[in-house]
Amino acid sequence: MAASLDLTSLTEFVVEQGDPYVALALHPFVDEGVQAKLEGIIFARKRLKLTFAAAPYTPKTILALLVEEKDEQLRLRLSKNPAVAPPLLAKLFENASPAVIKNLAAHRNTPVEILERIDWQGNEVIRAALCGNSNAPLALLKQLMQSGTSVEKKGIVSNPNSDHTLLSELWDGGDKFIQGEVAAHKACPPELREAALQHPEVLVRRKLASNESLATDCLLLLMKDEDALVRSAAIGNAGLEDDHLGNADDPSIRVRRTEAKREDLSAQFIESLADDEDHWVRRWVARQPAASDAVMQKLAQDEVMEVRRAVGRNPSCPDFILERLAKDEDPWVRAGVALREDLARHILVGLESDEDIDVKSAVGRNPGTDESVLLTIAEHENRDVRRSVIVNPHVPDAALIKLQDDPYPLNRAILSGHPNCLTGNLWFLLKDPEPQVRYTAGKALAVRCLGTA
Amino acid sequence: MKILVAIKQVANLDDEFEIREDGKDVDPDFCDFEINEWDDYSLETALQIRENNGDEGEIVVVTVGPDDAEDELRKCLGKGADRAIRVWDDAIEGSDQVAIARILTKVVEQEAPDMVFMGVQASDNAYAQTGISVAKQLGWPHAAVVSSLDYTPGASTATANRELEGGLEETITVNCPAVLTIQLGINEPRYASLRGIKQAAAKPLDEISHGDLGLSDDEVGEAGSVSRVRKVFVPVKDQAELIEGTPAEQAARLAEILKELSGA
Repeated sequence: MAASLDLTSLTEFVVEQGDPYVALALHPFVDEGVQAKLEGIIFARKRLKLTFAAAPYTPKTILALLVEEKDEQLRLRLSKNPAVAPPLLAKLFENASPAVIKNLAAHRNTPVEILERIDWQGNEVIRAALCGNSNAPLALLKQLMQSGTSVEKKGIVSNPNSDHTLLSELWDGGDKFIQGEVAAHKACPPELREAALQHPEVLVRRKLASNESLATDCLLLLMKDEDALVRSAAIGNAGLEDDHLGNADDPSIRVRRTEAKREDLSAQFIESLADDEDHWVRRWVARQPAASDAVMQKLAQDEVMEVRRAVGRNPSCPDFILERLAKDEDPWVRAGVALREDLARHILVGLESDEDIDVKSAVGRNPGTDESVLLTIAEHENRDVRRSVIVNPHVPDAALIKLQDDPYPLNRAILSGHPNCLTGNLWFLLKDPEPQVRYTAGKALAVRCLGTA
Repeated sequence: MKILVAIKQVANLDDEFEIREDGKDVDPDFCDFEINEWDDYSLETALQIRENNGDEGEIVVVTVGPDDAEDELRKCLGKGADRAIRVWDDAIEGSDQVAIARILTKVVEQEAPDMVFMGVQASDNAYAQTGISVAKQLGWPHAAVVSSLDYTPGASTATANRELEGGLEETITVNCPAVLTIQLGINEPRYASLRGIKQAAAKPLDEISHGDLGLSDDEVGEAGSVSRVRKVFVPVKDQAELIEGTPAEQAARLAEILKELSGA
């Protein structure tokens, strides 16, 4: 039975062991008769019910059973659990206490028809929750707006369902914070965008500049704003096309950093930013795939270690630069090179004998690393170094068998949830002392059993 | 060499919980239980001393607690402790730190260790008194809040650094045997290997009552305590405001509050 993929064997094992966490993992995958047996284990203690009612990993089949319970503490936990689906939240709404209703008003899965039925009169907490709920329909937001406090208006103005009428109303009576949110809203009407563009408050113009639905001509104006924060927001706007970029001489470091971070820079613009006095700008430039060999060669000799590492992480970095960076005096730079999955074998061989733990971890993750080296790394004294081998797509089975017994729980947790994990590993981990590991192993085994059925 | 390490199973509260019907504690249904964090460091200190002594010597872990507390003792055995003792009887329920110390004192007298290590405090009740109370009842030297320790088994003294207020440290020498309360960060506690956990199941774990230690019912529980919990409750929340918004908005609101409070 030890390494088999048979759901019957697995359920028999779980029933015999009586482990509530593995039983929980298996529950959605078995038929009703077996489910009933597992429920006896899962619900054996009130403590377990409370734990599973609050846990986002609890399967829908168990949540559906818990929703039927009358216990107020269970219902409170369920009403906050992000995994609870709309029909179950609707069920919770029946005979709900004020505390449960408060949670339902804020829950992202609460159905619209329930949100509409919630009595919000005289309860600030519920009103604020509804205003900020992205499921709240426009009609409800309009009702809430009528008696809205400043906190509630903040919720309404950020709500994606607010329309231009509501936003105009908010703008008219709002302070600069409200107006800023209106300017950032995708439904902000054109006349308010124009007003925001001319607004004396930097905050409002900055929020406008961050609005991704803004027209290019408006963004171009904001790129010339006197305030660096506004220019930076406009340049960072995903709606701005790269051919509008090109000012590498902006006096503000913040603006130049934002420019350097964009993923669509031209080779020419990259070159002009590569000499920037700010190392954060150079660092971002060094990672630009469009950077020329000459730029990368120059930045590979940068005095700042992070810049050199960024060159080593650049997917376009040529081998002759990587060879040099693989011998860099700083281990963090060498580790950056060792992380590259496309690294030439002769460079990787040189790094395989590096004793630094960061380099060792990077070599452990690299699919090109020799199996014998991976086996050695799997026995390294540093727990974080050992973990690197688990995620290596070419990890040898012998290393995984070693790591299933790793004293560091996180390593076993990562192993139990990783596709590399062997079926034999999973059976072994079903008896792990950590509930998370047992749950993940149980679920993975059940999925594999069904996949092979 | 024998080191006795006293540990406690502590409660971690859920976000939402209920108070027990008698109003004196949290309903255990709303708690997760685990070993007190400080005690992990105490045990590690003992394990390292033994390792540096050529693995010679015995480490005994003791706790005063109900059946569930056995889980924590097994974890300690899994890490390398040799033997465990759990003291419990329904009459012990309601013991304060002095009554618990009275029980532990009897265990120390029975075991006659060369050193006693305890955590500075327990994370649930945070009295930080049990260790020192044990030393007082034994009449042994003690050092509290130990952040580093130089002790060779068999030596007549140990040198410890203690954490003081204001970032100060104090180096003291205590005569042995002594009771030391160990501070977080003194070392890096190990994890029990799976092999160690399996082996722990076969290690001796004695279950005894206060009667076995020669204590009467009057010396434990509420009767044997110098303090009693009258009520555990959630205090009424006073004025509080969660400041929301962008950093600029938050700063503006904070300035407004400060002005209001200062009357500006």
